[in-house]
Amino acid sequence: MAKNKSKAPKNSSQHPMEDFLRMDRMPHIWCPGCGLGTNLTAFTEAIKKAGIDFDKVAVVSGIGCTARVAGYVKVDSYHTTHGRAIPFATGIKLANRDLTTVVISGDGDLFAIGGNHLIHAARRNIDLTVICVNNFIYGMTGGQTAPTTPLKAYSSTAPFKNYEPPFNLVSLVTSSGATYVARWTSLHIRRMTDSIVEAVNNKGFSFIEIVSPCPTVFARKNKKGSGLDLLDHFGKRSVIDHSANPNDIPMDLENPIVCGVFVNKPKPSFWENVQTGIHGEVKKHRDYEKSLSQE
Amino acid sequence: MSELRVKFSGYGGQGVILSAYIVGKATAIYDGKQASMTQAYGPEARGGACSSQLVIDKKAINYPLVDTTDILVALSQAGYDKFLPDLKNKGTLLYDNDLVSVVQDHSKYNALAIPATRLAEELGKRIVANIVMVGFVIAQTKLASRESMLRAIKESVPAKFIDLNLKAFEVGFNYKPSKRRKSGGKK
Amino acid sequence: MASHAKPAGSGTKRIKGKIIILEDRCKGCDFCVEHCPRDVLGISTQFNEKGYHPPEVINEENCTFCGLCERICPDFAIYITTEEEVEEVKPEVKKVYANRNKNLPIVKSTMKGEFFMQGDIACAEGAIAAGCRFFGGYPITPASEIAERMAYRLPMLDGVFIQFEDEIASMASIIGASFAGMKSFTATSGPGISLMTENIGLGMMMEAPCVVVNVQRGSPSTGLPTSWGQSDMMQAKWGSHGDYGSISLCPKSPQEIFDLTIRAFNLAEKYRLPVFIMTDAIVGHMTEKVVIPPVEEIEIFDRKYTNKSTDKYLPYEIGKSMIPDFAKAGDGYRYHTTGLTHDERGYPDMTEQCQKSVVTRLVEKITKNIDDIMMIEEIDIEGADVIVVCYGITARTVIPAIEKAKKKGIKVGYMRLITVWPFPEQRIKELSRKCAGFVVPELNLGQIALEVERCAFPDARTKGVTHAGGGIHDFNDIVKAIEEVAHGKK
Ligand SMILES: Cc1ncc(C[n+]2csc(CCOP(=O)(O)OP(=O)(O)O)c2C)c(N)n1
Ligand code: SF4
Ligand code: SF4
Ligand code: SF4
Ligand SMILES: [Mg+2]
Repeated sequence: MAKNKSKAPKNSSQHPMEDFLRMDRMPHIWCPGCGLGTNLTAFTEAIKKAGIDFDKVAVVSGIGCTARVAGYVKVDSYHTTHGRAIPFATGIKLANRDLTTVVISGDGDLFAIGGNHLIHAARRNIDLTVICVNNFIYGMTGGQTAPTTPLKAYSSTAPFKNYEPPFNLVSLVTSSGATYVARWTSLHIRRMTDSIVEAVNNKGFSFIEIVSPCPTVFARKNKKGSGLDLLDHFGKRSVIDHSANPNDIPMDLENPIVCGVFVNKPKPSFWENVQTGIHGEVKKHRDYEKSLSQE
Repeated sequence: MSELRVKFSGYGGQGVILSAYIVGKATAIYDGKQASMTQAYGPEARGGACSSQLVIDKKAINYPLVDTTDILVALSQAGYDKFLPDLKNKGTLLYDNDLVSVVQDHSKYNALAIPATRLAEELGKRIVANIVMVGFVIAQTKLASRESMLRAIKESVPAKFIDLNLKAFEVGFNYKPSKRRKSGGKK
Repeated sequence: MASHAKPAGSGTKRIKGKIIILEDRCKGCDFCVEHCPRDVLGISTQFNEKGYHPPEVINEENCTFCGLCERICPDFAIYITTEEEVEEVKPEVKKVYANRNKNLPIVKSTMKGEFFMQGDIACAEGAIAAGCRFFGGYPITPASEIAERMAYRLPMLDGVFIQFEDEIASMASIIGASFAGMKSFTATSGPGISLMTENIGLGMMMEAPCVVVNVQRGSPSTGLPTSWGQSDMMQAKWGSHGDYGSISLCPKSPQEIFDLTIRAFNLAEKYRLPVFIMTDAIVGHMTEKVVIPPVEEIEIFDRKYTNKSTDKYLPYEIGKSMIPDFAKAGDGYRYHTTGLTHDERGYPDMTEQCQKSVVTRLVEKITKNIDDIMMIEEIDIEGADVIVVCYGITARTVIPAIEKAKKKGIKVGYMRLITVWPFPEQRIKELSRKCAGFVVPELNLGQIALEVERCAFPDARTKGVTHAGGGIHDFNDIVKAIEEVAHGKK
């Protein structure tokens, strides 16, 4: 990587992320104590660690606080419509299979409005890495209930608490066919980074849930203190158990947040399957054009 | 020949659309005329009465639909019942007289019957009844030249069925319809 | 990055380094202070310019330069450097990019000749001839034949076919494929277009070259799946929220679907937007002779790529043409684009001025290039008293009515809109000074008729001949309308 020189900065305002982030857009829009910046660092560290050329990475996001990541990471980056990052990314990936294509978006974006795209992309095993930042709420629009909001948590559309059971994200994607599935919190910066390395190296549909503090709306509505308090709270509650069955580890307000890599079972991707399947069949039709075209 | 409006009718699965396609292809690609084919589609095409319409002309075809019909081809009673009212005076009616058993007064038309499905069965495959009928239609109406038709058939059916279809075409083409009852005594 | 020097040897050797705090970037979250394993950092009593207390180094000698503070800081405000790294300069690797600054390479189709071909299939073949190698779609009558044809043809040409879970995904995917440098399209009918409008807006805003085919059927809602209509004409102009220029082509025959699909791709590439083919169930399901010329005789236009270096390129910088130069994903430009209102760097810009310049340009890049885009066919226009304005299938079914009216002694002109959008405003205005009025037959309850009326001078009358779809006009209704306009009846 030409630009990836670990040189000591010439002046002290040269942050080592300078080459990987759009520093001309700093400060970013995220609130003080929001975990998103930390998660973004883990992502860029992972791409470096995986030895992938940043020129060959495309990041696609939907809409939301998390989705703004696409605007800060210095790669070809597409901030699309709410919920539609996965099919957009599918278009990029299938058109140019050389690109490492990563979707980074929020829990609402990926599991509410975009839920159908997500399960189908997992089913097809499209070679994408999907990083879902789960802050248990719709951050950008001011704290409404998300499909991840825990039972009995407050949100701005659940002023008397939420009575809808949330999705267990890792369970849903596993049963849909994802070939790499992990969950971490923003505090697990090293493990999360390593996990992203594995995910981008998996030639199929990879999913990582990052449980991340949203101090401004989730913590405030639920009296969880500052971003730091929430981060510590996640830290205290989290246990790592790679052998956990994703179906058995739903999330709520008190029980342990079970983290780990639950699925790492590579299978041929959509494109590989189509190619190997079609290859022989198409041969039989090879002369199709000739047979039809008259001189 | 000026503009001719032809309707092929039958029930789904009889190859009504293929019939119109082959005639259209023969006229448009090999006979150097214009042909425009449209088809009634959807639920209609699945088992019920189904039809395909073909307009043939020497000049460009503007109006592609077939309302009043010059030539009606009927491979089913339902198609016959539904479309006969659109057949114009002195129009030509070609029908399978085994499948269309309840006939109306044909005195206004040039009505020609052929047991196409029975003839196809004699060839061993009732599925080619449509092509038997097409052969009959071409012989009786000269919509397209015989050579163009043979070429169009070869290019439109699966390779292993070409011979069967060509045979079916010939059977229909050479079929002599039974003497029509002189109707009405006009002329 | 200036990252974590591993404790060298047994850990006795001290690593020299520095903790650098960019005070003004800090938002005072204390993540670094709390999570430093060695209690190196404390909270300063000073305020930074935003009014937060940044961290300060209180125990420098304890620092192991583990980098945790740098990694956990959500605001990129703290980092460490170590001496070891100063030596660790990797050589610049010269990068080689295959196919940089052009569309991805394709396998050419050799199909040519004369075919008795259905409109939908001619559409698919037109796309292939135009160089399109990506189709994302969802089945719907009467457009499914296009998807089926692409599913058959694209694998032969190393192209990509994917059937999605819905039309929302289909539309999103073709924009993605377009940014990857591949010509892409989708085909659907009214209900599918309604789902696509969200991302059609995205395509307009991001300026993604691609083609959307609408084989119109009777509407609204599920309407008449297997029957005819031209009821989505205004949707092609106003379907997605907001102002943008629309290019919509209306073929009248399978041959024209083939030709106009190629043209749609050329226009999409040239003007960078989703271009519509607005056909209908009759033309889509009509079979006629289609001539496919040899590839080398087909005129193909590819989007203009930037020739700037990666550090100079701005994805929405506008030269004289009003159309920004393109860069595809993976060519090293590492640019950003968004559906938010954006400046020339592609960065969100929420100002009134930026909104004005973006939206105005999205509209004007089409309207100001109307002479290049617009196609109309005129017959007997000069000296006509009544002008029949028509498009798509209706442009064929009106002919017998015009002939009849002519026989009755009325001077009737024929104006066929091959491009309905952009609309020939000037031409209608001009003609409206010279004729008694316009008759506009269409398979809807009056969409383009309103547009004609808007553009014509009030002295000229505009009479729509409406039809709700599911059939075609009664020929006598059109003759009657021509007579009424000719004789000035209200
Ligand atoms: C079609 C549509 N509906 C609604 C919105 C408004 N909207 C923007 S972001 C958002 C929720 C985002 O939540 P999530 O994906 O969890 O992201 P977060 O902000 O929490 O990171 C909504 C509903 C929109 N932009 N588009
Ligand atoms: S609202 Fe929540 S998720 Fe959004 S930036 Fe603020 S803290 Fe982060
Ligand atoms: S580098 Fe590690 S030890 Fe040093 S201040 Fe940062 S977190 Fe603390
Ligand atoms: S982690 Fe960053 S933003 Fe938070 S206090 Fe430390 S330097 Fe400031
Ligand atoms: Mg959220």
